[in-house]
Amino acid sequence: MQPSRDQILTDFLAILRSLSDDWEYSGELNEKTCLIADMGLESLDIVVLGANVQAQYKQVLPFSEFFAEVGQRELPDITIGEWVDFIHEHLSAQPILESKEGVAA
Amino acid sequence: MKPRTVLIGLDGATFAVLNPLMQDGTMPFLQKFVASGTHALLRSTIPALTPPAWTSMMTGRSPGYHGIFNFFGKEAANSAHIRLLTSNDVGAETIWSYANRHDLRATVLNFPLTFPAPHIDGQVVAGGWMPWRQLRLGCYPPELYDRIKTLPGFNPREIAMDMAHEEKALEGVQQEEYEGWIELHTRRERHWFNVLRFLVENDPTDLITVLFDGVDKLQHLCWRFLDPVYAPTLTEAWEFRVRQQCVNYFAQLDGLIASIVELAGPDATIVMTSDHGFGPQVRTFFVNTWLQQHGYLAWADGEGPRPSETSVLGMKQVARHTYQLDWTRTQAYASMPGGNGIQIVRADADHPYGIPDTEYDELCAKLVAELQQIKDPETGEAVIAAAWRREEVFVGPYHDMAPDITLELQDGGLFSILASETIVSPRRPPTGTHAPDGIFIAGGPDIRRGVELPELSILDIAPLLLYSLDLPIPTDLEGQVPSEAIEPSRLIRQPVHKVTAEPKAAVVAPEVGFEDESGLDEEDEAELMRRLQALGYVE
Repeated sequence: MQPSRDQILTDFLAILRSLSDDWEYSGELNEKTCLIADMGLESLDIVVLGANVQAQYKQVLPFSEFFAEVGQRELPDITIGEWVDFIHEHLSAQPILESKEGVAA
Repeated sequence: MKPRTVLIGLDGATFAVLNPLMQDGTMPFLQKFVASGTHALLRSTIPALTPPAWTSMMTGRSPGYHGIFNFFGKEAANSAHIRLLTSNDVGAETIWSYANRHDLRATVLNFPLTFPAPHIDGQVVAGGWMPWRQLRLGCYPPELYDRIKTLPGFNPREIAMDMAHEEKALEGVQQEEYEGWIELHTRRERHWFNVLRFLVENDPTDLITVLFDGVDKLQHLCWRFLDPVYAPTLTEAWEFRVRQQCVNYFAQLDGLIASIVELAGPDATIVMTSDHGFGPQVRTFFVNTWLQQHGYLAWADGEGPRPSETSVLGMKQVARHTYQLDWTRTQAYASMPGGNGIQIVRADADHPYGIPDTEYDELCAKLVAELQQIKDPETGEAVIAAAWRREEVFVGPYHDMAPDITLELQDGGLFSILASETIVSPRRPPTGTHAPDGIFIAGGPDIRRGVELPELSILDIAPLLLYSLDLPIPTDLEGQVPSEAIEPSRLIRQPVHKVTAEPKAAVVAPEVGFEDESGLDEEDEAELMRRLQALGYVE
């Protein structure tokens, strides 16, 4: 079943909270929080987060198109709300990404 | 319990650097280990690059069969979009998965293409492009991160990737920054050793694999301080200090290797390998500039990405070519740094100005011929040593995910995808770059002593590791157990046992262009395998 936008937001905030504890980020985490400007993430962090999202939902999402659009902005950054919108818009109901090796990831 | 087999990966290690360091007493343990075991050159993959090479080492399959050609991959066969490759993209079974299926457990530390961490019976701490802020996600079992973060001195910022540091490696460091940068990598290797020791002492597995990647990073940046050929060019005090820091790194590494061998105990088989060798890169070849000047590529803004643009890996680097190229006037381009691969734009609904199928072969042949004519304007030397069409070197179900043309540069280097005023520019002083011949060193009770073998293939390592674990060798592995490295008594006691590879039913590919569309029949494949054998990549 396709997760709701609220579920996607809840999932993503949970990941960010567990990770941000590791680098002692204590700022707010809400839909307006910017991943780079507020949380201090680096561009590669966002690329890797995208890979993790695909593994989590077992779907290939068009992140490179998304990053191409973000990369052309005057200030390349993404809010948590935008991230969630992107995932919600592109997730389909049926998981299609499996580990090719046959080992669950 | 003690591990039965330990693989110590030394990314980019070359005997050209190690031999002098063994001879001058910097690496006394390695010197004794080499003398008491078996060693050989180890031929890398095409391209000689970390992701395809380690993946071939850990699967026993060539890139056309495992689908990893670079750090990045195309989203689909004819897609201009690229993405960072992950463990989910590895299309062949790894030795740790295979060991699990035979009830053996494995530990996997710091290998590329292990994020997200595979759910194996054992432990994984992912390496490669693993940002330190997300190292928790690279650990399996999930609670492993909380266990290793309590280790004395543990610092995720040092053990995983911190782009603030990586940027220096990519852009070069200032004179005063070399020593701190080398010290960081010296500490980093110790962090990985501490994790390994903790796991061996608390939850040992049958197969231990660990990768030390500082060797590659030091050699990229500090080649002239390491290669004895350039020793006469070192004249200033700071240069001698940097040289000494490099030597210290290798001395520390020697100590870590000795400690790992001691931890493993006298009954373990120890294998040390590198994914590729190293040598000096004396020039930079700006491939997209050459393509532009010869009418194959056009920048949307007329200029393209300049060397002054940040080279830090991230969103922009994954995507910028999609909007910086003029797709109505581009037939060929290189979008991925590292793999020396050129893509041809094929005509389809998304690329109406691309090359029709009927003109594809002609364009590839023309490009290959013209590329091989490029000369260094200063020396007159050919810049390109070889230009391969993908069907010449990439056999397998992922063949159409490979670049259309892959280059080997004369100096072994990696081309630049940035735009430039010139096609070729000298590198003074030279930096270090990849070379095809890596290292193989093995020791243990079943390994022959004091033997130097002819060159082995990187594809031979997976069969050897499986053999050392008393496991049968699947027939679809492309290499061979190097039986000349093994004591005859062991071979009599345990002959190499091959088993028919299991059908690929368990391997499920995503629906994004990874189907077998190679269009090769058995005869074609046999011919391609013969070519690969002739090139020395397949036994």
